[in-house]
Amino acid sequence: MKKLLLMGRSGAGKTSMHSIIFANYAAKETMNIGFTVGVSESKFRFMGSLTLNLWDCPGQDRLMKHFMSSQKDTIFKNVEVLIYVFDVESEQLEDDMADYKTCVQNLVNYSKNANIFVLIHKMDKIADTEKAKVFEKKKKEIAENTIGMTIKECFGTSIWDDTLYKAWSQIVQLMIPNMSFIKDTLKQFSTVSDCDEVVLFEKSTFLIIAYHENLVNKDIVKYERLSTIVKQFKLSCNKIGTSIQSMLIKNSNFMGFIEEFTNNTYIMVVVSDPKIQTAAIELNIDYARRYFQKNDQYDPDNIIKT
Amino acid sequence: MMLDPTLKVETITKSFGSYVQINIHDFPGGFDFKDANPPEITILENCGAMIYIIDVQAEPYSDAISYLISCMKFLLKINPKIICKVFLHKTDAEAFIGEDRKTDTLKQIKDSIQSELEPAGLKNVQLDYHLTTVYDHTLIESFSKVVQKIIPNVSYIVGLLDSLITNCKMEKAFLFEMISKTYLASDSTPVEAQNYAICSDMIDVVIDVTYLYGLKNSKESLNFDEKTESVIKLANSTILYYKQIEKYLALICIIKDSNFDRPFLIDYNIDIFKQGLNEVFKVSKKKV
Repeated sequence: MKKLLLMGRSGAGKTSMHSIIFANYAAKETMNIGFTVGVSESKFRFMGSLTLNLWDCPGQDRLMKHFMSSQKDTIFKNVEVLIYVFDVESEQLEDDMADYKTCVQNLVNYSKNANIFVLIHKMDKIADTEKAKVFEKKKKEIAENTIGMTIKECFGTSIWDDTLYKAWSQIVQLMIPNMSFIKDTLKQFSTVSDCDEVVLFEKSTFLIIAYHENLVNKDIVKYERLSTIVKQFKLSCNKIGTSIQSMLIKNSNFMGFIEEFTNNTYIMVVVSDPKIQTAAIELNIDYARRYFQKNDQYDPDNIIKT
Repeated sequence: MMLDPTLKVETITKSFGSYVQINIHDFPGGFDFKDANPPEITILENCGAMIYIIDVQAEPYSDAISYLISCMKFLLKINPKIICKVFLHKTDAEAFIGEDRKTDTLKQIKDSIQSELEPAGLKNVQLDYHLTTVYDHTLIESFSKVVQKIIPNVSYIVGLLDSLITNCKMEKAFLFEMISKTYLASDSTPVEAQNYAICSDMIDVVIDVTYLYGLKNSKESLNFDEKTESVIKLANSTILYYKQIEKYLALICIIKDSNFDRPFLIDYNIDIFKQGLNEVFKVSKKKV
């Protein structure tokens, strides 16, 4: 059973972060979360056969140190991914680094093939003109303190814009071994159905697994915006005890269609040719679904084999 | 977002589609009617409705209630046809989370007000009460109900909607104004808060997705042409069907899966509804 660890010091923002991505709290509702007391372990299925075991460890110093040392084999064995969160405004830089180094050391001892992702969080508190500089400096410092393993990727994030989704989506994408197959299939799909864009989303978090677009020059950030829109509506549906099966939105300039694709994914198709019928799109989606499921090893529902 | 207290009478004009306009006059707290100047008196004489807001978080309510009675006494004298509504506002507080607490407070305030009405000579006045908060859909939904009472000829629109849902076998239909998300009319079946809420959220989805994809170029501003439509299928075999009626008015219908087998017929009936609506608006083209 492969695990994902979410770690970082207290107040770095881990709990609100994973509440937003996984447990469906919108940003303004997390302001009341407060400090995590004790270890919070959330198990959930993600991308089919991957069971993500989210350990939201308390960042408070004494508790954390004790917990980390007495439970380290339980925590650090079988880890597929470590996501480590740094608060960019933290004033305890030495302590931050010390805790991080201990974490990495444990990982080297118990799960040395794990992937490390670093999130430099609360970037909204840095002025726009300073963001790039601050990020690079922090990134370099963290890399220097990573001994025995290398960081797979480092991101600057905030819960108040799209950077959080973008980072987590990229983490998901970097974990999927058959991305080139999925991307090629989406490309074929888009040629056959003559659409402008096609995107594959993970079902519960609406993180982006893969996309293909024909028209160059469009803003990538819009996918994150779309994830948020759909998730907010999903929340509303959950409140009345149901969920979204499909959504179609169109006007004279475009048609956008989102539908459940496989057990763990949604597909979105965008078309700007008004001559294309909805039914044709639905038929093509059906074929694509069967094509994916026939090639079991490339099925997005069976991405990570344990 | 903190707003400053209102110091003098402020007027906002709100449009509902191209045909209907409403003026909202915001009076400062504790406004003394004896000090009202002639233009203000004219406003009060011509108002269709008064919304009185009581902050449920500010106990005791006795001051709020006596001020309400004095407002009503003054207004009903100069404008006997005015509709009075009381909003019990800020019900988002932790103390009000349970339904019981809300109904108890409502009853308490209602009873207090009723007992004051008779000695003030206002025994037969009809007062409607709504529990509201800005943090969910209750405020806009309650405001919708006020709007429906003062827009002329709403009953004709209700009739058109009744006819539509019967002929198309729909569960419910709402005519929404998109920016405020108030609804001008719905068919005469009772409105369930959750149905209003999901339709109101659907408007957000349509607006946001259209903004992302529906603009020909980045300089174009958001314009909901009559071809804007949306179909959302929910896992509980219900379909939400959104059709743009005119620039800022949208029709949202709730239909069961099994009744959505011939969408072209539904579209045809909606067109007929649109024509009927135009006729109603032509007749009642006046400012309220």
